[in-house]
Amino acid sequence: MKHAPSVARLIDALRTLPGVGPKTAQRMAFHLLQDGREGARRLAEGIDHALTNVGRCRCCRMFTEAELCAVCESPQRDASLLCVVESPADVVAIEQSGGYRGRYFVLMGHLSPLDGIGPEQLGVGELEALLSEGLVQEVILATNPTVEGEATAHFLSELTRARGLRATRIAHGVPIGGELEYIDGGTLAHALAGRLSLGQ
Amino acid sequence: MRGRRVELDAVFVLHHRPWRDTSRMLDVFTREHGRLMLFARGVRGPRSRSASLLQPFVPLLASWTGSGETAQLTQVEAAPGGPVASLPAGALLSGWYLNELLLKLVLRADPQPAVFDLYARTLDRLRDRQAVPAVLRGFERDLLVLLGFGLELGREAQGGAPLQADRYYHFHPSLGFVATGDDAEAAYAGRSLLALADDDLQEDAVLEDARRLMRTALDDALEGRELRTRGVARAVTRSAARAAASSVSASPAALPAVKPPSEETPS
Repeated sequence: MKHAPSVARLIDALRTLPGVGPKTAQRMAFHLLQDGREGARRLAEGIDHALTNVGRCRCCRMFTEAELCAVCESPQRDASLLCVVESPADVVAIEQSGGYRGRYFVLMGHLSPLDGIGPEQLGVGELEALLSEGLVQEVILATNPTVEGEATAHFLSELTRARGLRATRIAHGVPIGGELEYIDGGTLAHALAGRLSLGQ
Repeated sequence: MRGRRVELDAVFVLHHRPWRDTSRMLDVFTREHGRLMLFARGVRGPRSRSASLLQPFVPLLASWTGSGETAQLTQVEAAPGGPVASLPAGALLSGWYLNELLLKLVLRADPQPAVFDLYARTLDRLRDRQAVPAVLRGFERDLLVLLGFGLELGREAQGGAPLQADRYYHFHPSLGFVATGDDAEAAYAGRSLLALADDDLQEDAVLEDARRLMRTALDDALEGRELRTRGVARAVTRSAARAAASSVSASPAALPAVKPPSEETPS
């Protein structure tokens, strides 16, 4: 069956969402037009409002409506600690853990040479400018423990150390509540290599 | 060929991209079945046990069903006795460079066991932290020979006379080596070419000639396609050089300046 042009356009637009195929998009579109018209209006306004108002933080590249995000603006945050992450979702995850009081820098990706993604695409120039300001003492590299994330961390650690600053990498290892028997060899090797002395 | 099953072939993941919410599309190089695309369902989920295995540069054994555009990964495990870890972080850019050469020069579904073994050996050399330029030049040379791009080191193009160490030669990609009278700018020293053929890549002059020659031969084989890893490696080197310069200007006492990571530059 052929959809009315506006419906087809809506279905097509919904497919830009991650994990939404043609069938799901059609179900969503029909729901919005049938029972959810009030919600649909709020959704449309919400998207429109966010697109107009949300930009990137001048300092850390996190999404924000102001020039600086709440973390960068807060005087309570420790400006000598900078945690470098791949995505805004990583910032949220670390914030929810509640144990971190420093600032962030969001790369919006990782080094991926085969896709042509290098330092320029990751805003490394902005990161260098931030390091040159002289406030940061330690850069915590919290990129993902994938090959791409490791390459990114290695590259950024060289930039950091060349400036005489401390570069640290988040630990990888056995998850809390996990059992060694079920952990893959790569993780276990990392966990052993990064072991800590007890009782100090 | 529908419904074909392959059990535990030796494979490397060359490239991967996310597919749908929890899956990945893998561009893999298999020893017995050549290069192919595999769909790996559910490997990005929080409970996936194969996510940590399905990384580039790690020797794996994989099983899959189907062929062509629809092959599905059904099982993966680490190759017994192989390294469980990827390359050292400093060698990753070199590793991606090897991957890009394979992605661009090896056709899909064209089994190349000798190239597969060459690739596995080269990764081992990078893992052993051997001198990167010599490792890469050796890989490029053997790859071009194995894939039949007509690189015949050691002989002249016309007549097939053996190359002489004390003479100079021009290289024409479609033809081969042609002797030239003098030490012209674009010419290669015979001793460099013989050293490259013997895998004796230690001297700087030999390495530079080898780099230049492989660049010309690869550019011809790539038929104008750009290598993205080269561009990224150059940008990484530039950033490192900038960082080194800034540390010198900040504290003149902090000499010697950090060397740009030339080991990371593919060519």
